[in-house]
Amino acid sequence: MILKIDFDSEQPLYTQLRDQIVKGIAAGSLKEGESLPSVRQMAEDLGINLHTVNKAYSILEQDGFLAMYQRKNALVQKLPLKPDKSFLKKLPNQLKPIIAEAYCRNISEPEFIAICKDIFSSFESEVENES
Amino acid sequence: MNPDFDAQLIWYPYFVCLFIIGYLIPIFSRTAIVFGVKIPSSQLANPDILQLKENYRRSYLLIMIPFVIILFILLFKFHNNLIVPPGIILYLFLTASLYVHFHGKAIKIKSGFIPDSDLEQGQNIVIDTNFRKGKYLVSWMWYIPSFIVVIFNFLFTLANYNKVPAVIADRYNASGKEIHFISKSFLNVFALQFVSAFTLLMFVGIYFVIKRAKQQINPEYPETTKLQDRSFRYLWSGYFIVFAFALSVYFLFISLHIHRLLILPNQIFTGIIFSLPILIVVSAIILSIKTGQSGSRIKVNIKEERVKVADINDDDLWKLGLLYFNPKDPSLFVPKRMGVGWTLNFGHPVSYLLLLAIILIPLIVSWLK
Repeated sequence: MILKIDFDSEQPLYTQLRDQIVKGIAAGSLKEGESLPSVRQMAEDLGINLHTVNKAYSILEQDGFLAMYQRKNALVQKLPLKPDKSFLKKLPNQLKPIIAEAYCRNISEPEFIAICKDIFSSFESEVENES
Repeated sequence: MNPDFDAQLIWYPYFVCLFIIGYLIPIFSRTAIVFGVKIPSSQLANPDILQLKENYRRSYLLIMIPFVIILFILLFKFHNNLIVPPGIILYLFLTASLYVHFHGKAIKIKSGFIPDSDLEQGQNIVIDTNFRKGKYLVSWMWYIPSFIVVIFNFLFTLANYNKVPAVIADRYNASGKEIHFISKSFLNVFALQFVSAFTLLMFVGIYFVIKRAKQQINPEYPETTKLQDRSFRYLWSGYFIVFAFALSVYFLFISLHIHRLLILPNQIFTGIIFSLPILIVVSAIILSIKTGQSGSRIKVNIKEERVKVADINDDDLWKLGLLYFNPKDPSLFVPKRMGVGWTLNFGHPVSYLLLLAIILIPLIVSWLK
């Protein structure tokens, strides 16, 4: 997949990297069994610290998106991932600031839901196209 | 014919090659790089930029044509090799000052640009996670024939060590006549084998540089530039494999000839010595014109719509637009900013060790000899 990192972004590099890979997996541009570049190669291509890439990969491994073999081989895991209750617990907390801002900016609930639906369907259509 | 005069002939094609390379460098470089300065794609057709390139070509010809002519006249008149080193230094000095001058002008023009409101702003870097999958390098197995030649060269000389005469010629004139001899010793006989093995290992090193060097993807056209960079690496890895093989065979023949194990006619011996280096330089120029830096001149068969994302502005990391200095970047090898190929990250301490090794190892060997 094509992966983009923005050095000007407020978001730390390792979360950018993590989010991009999760998006890639959801959209089907990273498929089950596909390998990602080694930590070192990824760090060199992006021109960022090895620890940054390592951190992103470790989090992805913890969350079940990747299986790591000695930092060299990072394999994309099968969808759907194993159920994880802690994610469902975290979800409202993560959504809260976004919805709060949307509320302040007078974005209605149906509008917000419509955007969510669009994003969901973008992932689903990709998966259908692939199969 | 005066043999000393004859020996000068080799320098004429070299200076012509140098002259051509200097003229073509701005053309070889990636399209978005103008004299080491990154120019946004929307501004590439900017009249100031086009004028700047035109001015460079004009100034280059105006300065370098007289320089080369004067040099040739001096070489022809005095037929003295001592003219060559200062000639090369002066050539490098002139082209470098010309380049630095135009680099400064490009920075000035760029500072006047207004950011393209069409683009998603940011310091974006784009890579492909599958960049190093599939066919993007010629297989390293093609180095095996070169290794066989180098090993054969060593073993054959070792087996016939007794047949090597007590004195070995180490200098020849242009017609292939020996003009200087050294006495036979293990180091003197195998110095050439060592050079041959050392160059081959350097070429294998270059292969891994080509494999590992940073991807060069333009965020605005990721698919196109990715395919171009991959074809670029494929072609150049193949070039270096052929180059390595040709050099191994070259060293084999030189070694056999100077150790009198296979006596070539003098004409053929000098023919090989003079023509191979020129062939290598000329083919590198031709390949550079065909590929451009990172494959920017390679046509790829896809239609890609422009992605509206701004590229990173990394001008500050390129000192004078030539030397990459980024201590935060773990990579050792990066694509050159100007010209074709790869260069070192001078912000990485290992770069200096590498440079030192490449300079010191041959020095130590020649000193031992």
